[in-house]
Amino acid sequence: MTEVHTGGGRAAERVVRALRDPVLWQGAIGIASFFVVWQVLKWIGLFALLPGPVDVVRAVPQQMEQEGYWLSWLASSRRVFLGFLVAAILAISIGVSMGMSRKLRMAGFPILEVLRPIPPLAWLPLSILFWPSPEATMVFLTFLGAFFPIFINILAGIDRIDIRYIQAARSLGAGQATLFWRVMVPGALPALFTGLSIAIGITWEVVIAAEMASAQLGLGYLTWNAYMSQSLVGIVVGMLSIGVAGMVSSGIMGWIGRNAMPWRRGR
Amino acid sequence: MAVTNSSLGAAQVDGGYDARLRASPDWPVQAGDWRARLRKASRAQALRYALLGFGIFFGLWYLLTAVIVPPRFNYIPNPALLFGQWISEVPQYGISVFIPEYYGHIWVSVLRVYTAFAISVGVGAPLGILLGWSRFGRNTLFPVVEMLRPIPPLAWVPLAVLALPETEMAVIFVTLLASFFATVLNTYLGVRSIPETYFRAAACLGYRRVDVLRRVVIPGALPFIFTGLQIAMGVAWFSLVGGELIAGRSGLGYLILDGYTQLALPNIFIGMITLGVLGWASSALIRKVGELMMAWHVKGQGGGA
Repeated sequence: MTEVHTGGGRAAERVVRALRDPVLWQGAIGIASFFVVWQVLKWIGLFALLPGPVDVVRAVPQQMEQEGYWLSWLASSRRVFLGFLVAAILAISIGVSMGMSRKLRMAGFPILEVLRPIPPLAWLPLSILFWPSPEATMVFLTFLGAFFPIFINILAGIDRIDIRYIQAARSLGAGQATLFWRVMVPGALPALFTGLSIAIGITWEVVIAAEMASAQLGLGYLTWNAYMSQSLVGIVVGMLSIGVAGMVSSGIMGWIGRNAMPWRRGR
Repeated sequence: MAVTNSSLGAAQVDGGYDARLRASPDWPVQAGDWRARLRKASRAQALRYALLGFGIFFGLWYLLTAVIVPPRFNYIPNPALLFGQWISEVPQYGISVFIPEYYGHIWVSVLRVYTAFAISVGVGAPLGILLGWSRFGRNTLFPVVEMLRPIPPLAWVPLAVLALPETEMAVIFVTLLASFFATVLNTYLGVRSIPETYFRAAACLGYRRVDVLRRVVIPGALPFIFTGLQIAMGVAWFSLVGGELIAGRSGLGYLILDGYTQLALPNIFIGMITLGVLGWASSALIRKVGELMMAWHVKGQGGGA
């Protein structure tokens, strides 16, 4: 509707419009007004404590140069990766075996359903006591956060496979291995990747909280440290770094998903 | 042949075929006959396996914490002690079902979650509708939402504690952030899922904007909205625990933290399990409300799921 009303302007304007997608410039307006409102709020004196966007941008290089910034990235990513890897391996193997064996599922699923609603962070104090090192604690929490979404999604994915596919494969003479690789795996893969991408988001969330509570290094610790030294700019830079880290991992996850399921690329 | 004969003979002895049929597990249970229902349920294979699973779980737990106790397992209370403390009138560590303080923590946490949930739905659902319905709104606001969304709610804790005048507000703010984004995103997807033809039909019938909103947009997006609300409730409990651990002075998250600092191990577990139960019950409540509000949707799917 908008385009119809404003589209009949001069030729030059039309060229500009052709060059610039409305989605693009309207998005730019949105983001720009967000920062303008933020800066204006700062000038007015509302939220006087908060740094303005200009302060943040100015502080970024200095914050990035501070000791341990890149080491923090490394430490957090390693925790996320380790926890996520263990969770993926365990959740996939347990999910697949429960998806294929009814008895195992009847025995094991209720227990996992009882454990699932307990928020991962509620395990934090217990794991600090239980695990010998803070590193193990954080990896364990990350694992907990990632395990359930992957597990639930792969199980749902296996359930959702059309029984007729399995019957068709059987009547065409497929053995157990063929059935697994040619029917089960492609059938459950989309749901698995849904679970994996939910899980990678949760792992960042959990690792940040765990680092705030008990780490000596990491992006969450960086933010917490800035809080302790009352450096608001540091807090905001820490938050932004965490956001970027989460986005990058989701992007990688999506890329892997697209390449693992080339038949879904068109959608 | 012999088998048929002998079973026929048995049938004649204990009152005929009808009586045996009535006693068989396949005979439908009469309404109100709870004993038959219980008998039937206890025969179900699923239940037996579930009990087996729980038996193994609790057995291992007991074995590892009370009988063998490998190193570090002494930090986990054995289930008998834990549940004994939980229902004890004079608990060793001051928390049990008879102590008012326990309900105080529960009340504070529930209040925080539901306040945060109400705010995030009150603001998030309209924003989601705006994003889905108006092209300009979507083009301008969606990038901002997408820019802020990757920052995990708990990363906001330090900022919220410093910028907001009260810790209570900071905890609620952190709790509502995650559920806010879940609500916005799902409402948006819900509105986008409504077929364009519905809007055209409404326009042909001369609906005003208000009527389109009331009759097309909201009912059309409702299934997605309720999916969003369920996710929102889950993440609200999740973030609440984080907020209370890091910045709280009360609530179940604080109970767990306090149990840690005082080394009152049963309290940690009581807090965790209570959180699990409350979180599960909240999700179940939303699912029930959703089913009530969307009777047509449930019916359309064939009465289940």
